Amino acid sequence: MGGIRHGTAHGTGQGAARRTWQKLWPGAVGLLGFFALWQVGALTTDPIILPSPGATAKALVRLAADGRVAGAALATALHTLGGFGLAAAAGGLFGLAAGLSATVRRMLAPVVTIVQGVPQIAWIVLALLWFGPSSAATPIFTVAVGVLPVIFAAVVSGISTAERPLIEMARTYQTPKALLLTDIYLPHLISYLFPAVTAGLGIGWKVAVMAELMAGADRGVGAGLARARTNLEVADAFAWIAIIVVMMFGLEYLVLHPLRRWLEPWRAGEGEGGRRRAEADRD
Amino acid sequence: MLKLTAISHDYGQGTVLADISLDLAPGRVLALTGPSGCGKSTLLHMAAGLVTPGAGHVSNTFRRTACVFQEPRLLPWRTARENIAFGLKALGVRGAERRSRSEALARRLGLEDALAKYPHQLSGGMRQRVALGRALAVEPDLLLLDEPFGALDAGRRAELQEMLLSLLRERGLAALLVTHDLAEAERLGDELVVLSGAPGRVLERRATQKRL
Repeated sequence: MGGIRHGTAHGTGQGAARRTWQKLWPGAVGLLGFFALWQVGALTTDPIILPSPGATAKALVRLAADGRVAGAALATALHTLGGFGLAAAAGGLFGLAAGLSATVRRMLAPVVTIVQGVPQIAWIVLALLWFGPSSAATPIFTVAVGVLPVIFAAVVSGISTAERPLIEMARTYQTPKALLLTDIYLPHLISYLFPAVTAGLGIGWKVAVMAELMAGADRGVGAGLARARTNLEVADAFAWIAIIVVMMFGLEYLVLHPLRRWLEPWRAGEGEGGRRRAEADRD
Repeated sequence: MLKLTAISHDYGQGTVLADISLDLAPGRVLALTGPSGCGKSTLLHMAAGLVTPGAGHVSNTFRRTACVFQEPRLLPWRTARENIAFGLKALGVRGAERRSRSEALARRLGLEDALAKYPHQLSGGMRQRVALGRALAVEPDLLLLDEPFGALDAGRRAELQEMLLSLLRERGLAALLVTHDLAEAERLGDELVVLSGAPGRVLERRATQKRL
């Protein structure tokens, strides 16, 4: 039967390029629109209030030339990733225990609710009191506490929702425990963890900058922002914001996405599955 | 021989199955049909060892039993080839042999172009073929089929029925086929058992047109 062969556009380089373009152009238009609006806004307001994209870029270049950007970016990255690492370790461990045992799950549920209920800003105050303003432990701790519930929730649901029909199927083949783990539980868990890692890192960056700023730290993007505020350097503030946004997207698109493609090759083109299936059903 | 003796069952919301006895000899195909909710799938799950009957006894002396469910139940993160080979992997068959056996089976099922694809890249009919391939790969002598083509359109359904019929014949397999489609039961089964609505009881057992 001919259903095996899919539409031709998928195979050829030209078709692939067209498809990539179709996927990318709306985003490009949105981005251009954003910068256009920003530029128009800058032209019609005082530069003290809204510096133009060009002025922001200039400030960015000046800060980079001063050698402040690299050090600050590195410090913020360390705070974010350090806190995230702690959260992943603790959230993974507790999540695993709670996912496997309903009793542990019920025991931890109120604790997680309490931790989640405390505002980020309150954790920053506590961290300041405990670790002091100049210690890297202050932003790291704040990030860890902020990200922990996200990772915990993902691990718990990843483990406790392992697909029953697949496990039942595996049971009919007398599948050994080790194979169940590597072929069913782990791939399933990874598919739950990835969105949580992305969301957790997103929270992490923001909390790290906030903690640096509130603590009056001497290093990090948050420290740069605090300095820009004190000196009323609005263009510098915009430059620091641009730095943190670029770092976030850099991590997501240069690290997380390739990592996911490597760990989960089966997801490639998943969104197109419906259409390709429809094509296959037609011929 | 598969023997279900005096089976009754209750999921906690009333009796599903009431005093049912069935037997299936090697090489025979028994089609089990009846209205939805009559417990025919429950009977099949009991034969597969997935459900323990509330009362009665299940004895299965077939060397190896394999199941095909209504949904393909493929691992989304494995290619068609790896899915076909899953049962062999569970049995501890080595990689190279797994590969050659699943490829030979894929050719027989018309899946040679689909081997490197993931389930979401395949049509419903193709996915169900992969599921059938996974069951046949372990070389069972009893196949348990739970509405295997229930989710397919009429054309695909006829195509796959034809394929299943010839596979059952060429391998001399016994099969218990649960279906709500009487035409399918007549076409594939040697014998037909009709269950009543809940609680399921055997209404009739007769030879199908296939044998007449």
